[in-house]
Amino acid sequence: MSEFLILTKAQFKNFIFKRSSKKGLKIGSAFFTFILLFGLSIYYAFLYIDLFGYDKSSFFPYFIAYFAFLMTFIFGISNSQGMLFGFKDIDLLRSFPIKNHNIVLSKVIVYILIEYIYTLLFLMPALIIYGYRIVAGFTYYLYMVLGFISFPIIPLLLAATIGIFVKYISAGKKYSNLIQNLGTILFVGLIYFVSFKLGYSQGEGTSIDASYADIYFKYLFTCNWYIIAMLDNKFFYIILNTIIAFALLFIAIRFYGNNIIKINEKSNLGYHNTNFQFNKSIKSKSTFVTLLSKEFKKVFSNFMYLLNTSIGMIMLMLTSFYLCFFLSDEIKSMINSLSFLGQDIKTIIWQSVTLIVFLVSQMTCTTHVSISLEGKAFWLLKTLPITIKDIFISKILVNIMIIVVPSFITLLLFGITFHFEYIYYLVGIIFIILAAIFVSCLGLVINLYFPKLDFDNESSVIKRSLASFLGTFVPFVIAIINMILYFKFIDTLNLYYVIMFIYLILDIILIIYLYIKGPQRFFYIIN
Amino acid sequence: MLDIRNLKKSYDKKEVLHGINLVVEDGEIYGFVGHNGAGKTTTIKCVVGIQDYDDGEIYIDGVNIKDDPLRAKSITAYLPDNPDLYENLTGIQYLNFICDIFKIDKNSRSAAIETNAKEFELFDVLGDQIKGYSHGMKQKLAVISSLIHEPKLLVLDEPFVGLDPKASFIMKNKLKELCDKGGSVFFSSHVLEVVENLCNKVAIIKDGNIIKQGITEDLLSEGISLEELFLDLENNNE
Repeated sequence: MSEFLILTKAQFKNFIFKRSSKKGLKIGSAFFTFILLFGLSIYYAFLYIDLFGYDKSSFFPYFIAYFAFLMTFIFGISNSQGMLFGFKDIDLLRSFPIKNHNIVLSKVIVYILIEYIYTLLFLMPALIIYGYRIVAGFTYYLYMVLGFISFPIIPLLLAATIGIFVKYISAGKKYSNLIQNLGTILFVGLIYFVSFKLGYSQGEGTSIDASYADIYFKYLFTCNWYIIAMLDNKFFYIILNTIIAFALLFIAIRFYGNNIIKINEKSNLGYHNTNFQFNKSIKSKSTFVTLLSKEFKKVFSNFMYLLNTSIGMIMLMLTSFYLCFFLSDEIKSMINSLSFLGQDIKTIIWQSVTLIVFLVSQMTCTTHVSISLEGKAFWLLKTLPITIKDIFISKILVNIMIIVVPSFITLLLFGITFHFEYIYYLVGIIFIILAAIFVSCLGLVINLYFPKLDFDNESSVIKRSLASFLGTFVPFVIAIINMILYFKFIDTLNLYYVIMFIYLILDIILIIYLYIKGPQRFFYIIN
Repeated sequence: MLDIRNLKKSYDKKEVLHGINLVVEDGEIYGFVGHNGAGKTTTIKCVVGIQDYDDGEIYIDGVNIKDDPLRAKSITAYLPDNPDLYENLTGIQYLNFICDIFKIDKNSRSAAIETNAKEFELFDVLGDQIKGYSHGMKQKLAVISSLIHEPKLLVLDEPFVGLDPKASFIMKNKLKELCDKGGSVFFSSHVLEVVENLCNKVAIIKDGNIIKQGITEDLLSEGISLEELFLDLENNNE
């Protein structure tokens, strides 16, 4: 077996079959996660297939391909840092008689193989349902599988390129994590902004949806080839896609090979201060502020952690700026066209804003892995003279602030643009605070029950631990139930009061639980 | 300073500590030796509050660690065998963090950090990120952080692993200094020569039981070395 295959096999095994004291639970949770995502994927497929229609000329399969491409790209960006740069075995591997590009290739292949799972979930169920609906022939399914082999490679190479570039400019710098976070957010924001701009400029005279379709059709041509090959039985396009994808992969490995190794070395060496001034470095803070700032640093200095737990709030705030400063008139005219609903614009906008903020807030949870991320340094929290209560509060407070500050800015922006009354600000912010307390406390409770302190790479905690799944999924489901309740019994403020009351009760239960049982659970966690 | 009474601890219904009794007096350096898996680290982890225990009591300077863990921890320092620290912080940020937790004022911390960091030759790299430190440098930083708040009880698990000869020498002197001021040191080690030369008292643990303990000189009164005593006890208790 070639050195590359031996290496890739070992890396993949190490990644997939990590040691676990609760093997049954781990397999169960992985299976449950897969089934759940698979179920969600099928649900969305049915939802959109009805929207787009299911004849052969439907836009649906293209939409799914674009969606899968973009999701693979976004997931790829967030995973690239952990999977291409987070590895600590570089010194060991380099001491072996293995070529550098084989080390990099094995890392990239494992990265791509893992990302295949996400692409598979976004793409396959929908295409199978569509094929079934249009009574597709054998070649449809054959080309679907063959085309899938190369499908994720291009978005992942794009994601890796951004990841490598950002890591390259940040590695070894004083504020490397900040540069990394800002760099990636700026890149994603830029893509977001350009797509908005293109969609809007092309959308003049047509619908915005149609203009987006045009842009995607123009730029994501490999997705089109994939769908055309399946629908029109054109194997040539599958071959073309495969050649392009693997050629790009080959070029990327050759081009990035040594750079990835060098960036890893530089990054592992950390920041060296050549102008260290001792007296200026001595700073004093209270114990609680110290804990709080430690938690803040942990979130904002860890790219993957920030992206996976807080990006929703950041994007929400950026979108709010864009909508309020550039598209407020369009929103007003759009809302005016909904006047037949019998509600005034302000109320509709306020409801929409608070519900969206609420939904995003329920997906913003740093606490669900905050204990796990203490990792091997967990002994410090246990041996230092700090109360467990202070540790909990600092972790919860950080998440609340991450939710509440952007939420309030969003509410304020829309409030100023659309002249909200004071009661709307008040109800909105109390609602968000209650929801923020809920998701923060629930995340902590979940992590107390499902900690994972032993890990080689933080991505296994942030993206693939049971706590991260439950911490994202459970509050989201509860939020959806509340949304259904809202749309079922739409009654503006009165219903908000009911939902707020529900969250108040849930918050009290969780706080009491954390106060009484939390320290016990914390004490039982051992690394 | 440290009083362990009938300490029992189980993992998954398997008892690993079968009633440990041990007293470290003020001013003593107490060595704790035993083979791998004998229960040294488990005992230490119970003392410093990392692990709960099933039965028995632990007192630090008269404070029951279950009744008032914060008071006990505020006079104790712990140095694990392989100190995993906050890798993204710089050395000075980490030391500031420890000082904030132990409420050490700005002037005192400045003097303590400067003295210790210079002694352990870490002063020039305090502004660097910990993740760029070698194993020995991390160990030195952990040692400094454990000494910085002048603990009454210093608990160390294999403290000399990874330290260079000069740092080991300084470390031994620091332990003696702490004891001269009335503090106590309780440490585990596999390096029996160090234990023999440094400790006033020694306890040998095997399979969760203390099989021998006492004043070092008394235990080695017949001219045998600690290594010989240890091997003899190990073989005779099989």
